[in-house]
Amino acid sequence: MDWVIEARNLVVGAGGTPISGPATLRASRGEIVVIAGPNGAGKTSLLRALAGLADHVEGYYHIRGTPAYIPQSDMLLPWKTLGDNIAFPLLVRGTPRREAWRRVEGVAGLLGLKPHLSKYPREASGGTRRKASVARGLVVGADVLLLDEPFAGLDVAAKGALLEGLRRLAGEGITMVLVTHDLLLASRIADRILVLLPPPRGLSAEYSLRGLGKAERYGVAEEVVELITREGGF
Amino acid sequence: MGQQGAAREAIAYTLALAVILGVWQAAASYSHLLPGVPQALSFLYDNLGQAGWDTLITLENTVAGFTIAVILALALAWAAMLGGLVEETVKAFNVVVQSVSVLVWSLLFLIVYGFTSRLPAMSVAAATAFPIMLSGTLKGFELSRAEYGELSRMLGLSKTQEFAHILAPGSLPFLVASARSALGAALRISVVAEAFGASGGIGYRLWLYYELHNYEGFMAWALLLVTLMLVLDKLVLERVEAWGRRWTG
Repeated sequence: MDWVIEARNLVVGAGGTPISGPATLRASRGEIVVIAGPNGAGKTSLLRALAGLADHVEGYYHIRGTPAYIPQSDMLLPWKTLGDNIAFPLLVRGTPRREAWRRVEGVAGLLGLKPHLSKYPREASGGTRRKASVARGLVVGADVLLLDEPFAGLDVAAKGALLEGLRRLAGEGITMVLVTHDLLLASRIADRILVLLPPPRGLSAEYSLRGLGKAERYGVAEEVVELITREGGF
Repeated sequence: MGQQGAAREAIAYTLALAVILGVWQAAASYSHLLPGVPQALSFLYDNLGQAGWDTLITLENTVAGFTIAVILALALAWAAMLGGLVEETVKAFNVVVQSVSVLVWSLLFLIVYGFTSRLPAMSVAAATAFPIMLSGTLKGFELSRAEYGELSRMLGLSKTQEFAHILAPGSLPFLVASARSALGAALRISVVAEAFGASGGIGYRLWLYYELHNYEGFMAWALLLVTLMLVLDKLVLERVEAWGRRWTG
């Protein structure tokens, strides 16, 4: 198997008190890997480490491709339209405006954002803003998305639309690692669910959902929730 | 603000003005020295040319001082972005400047520049506006950095790019809100410096009329100053602030 993401014994916060890990994980092209775990397990820290944003990281990790970290807060600049927000990473790198907009329209098409490009963030729904945040990550040519709680704060319709957008991206070969508490929802698109427990236990269990039907996927999600409740000390 | 809100605000200002003018008129009827509202208005009407000229001088002094304050505040806030000792020093400097009384600034600049110069009024306006602008700018930068600092890291922005694309526009609501307060304060204070030592301006004329026991002139110019401040605030600064906050919803 040709791995796009590979991490071995990754520990965040090394040297002091570890805040995440150890984690050993792999993801292949177009795969959707969900990381679940109790609060304080270090899920976000692990994601930030994979994105190269964390300090004091120990262990091995490698991403074959261009990663984009999509934080829980959409971090859209409120004085720019959604289109300009998506184009922003390209424009600050010197990409000509016309070329930047061509690429913006490309990723916006993938996520169903085209009708919203001229809106300001405050004029857009939570789901649209989240998709714009994903599009901003993709526009620079990212082929690995590291998404932190992408469904948090969204209503049912927005969650469904975002889920569909992510499924379409996976079909285009984009690899995704999702950190989420919304396991029932995430189980609908996940290829695997990994359970991360607070250090020193780290990544402790792995469930494959490939080839499973909807009911079986929900069953696995329930099992993961039970494991987290049991092992997380609740 | 909707039409209804604007109408209520207009009524509120009219009522407030009516109360103040009523108190003034009542006080005038008990005082041999204090002129009534009609006398002051009549004096102002008879000397409109002088009033316009003094207003222009005071506005020039204030705007010049305010501009100096804005440039200094932006430069120091930019320097504070370096963090560490530089940031701490800039903040400490701001606290020290804030703690100096306007009276001290006024007399100090008179000593430095001499009487009849317009520089003391400009400098006092700058010294008054500067700490307000610097506090607002630093707060705007800090909040923008807290909110979008991660984005800067994610996109690998340089310090210059971060300033131009994130900190400066992100701080705009704070900058314009501070500018509104700073310009108002600079205007109020620059007339004090004009009174101490200048050859023109609203403050100079207020003091001159007081010294000459021309209380009609004194009250007329006091009215002129209040009107100028209200017009500047409601017609210019409030609109600029609304423009600066337009995307905050």
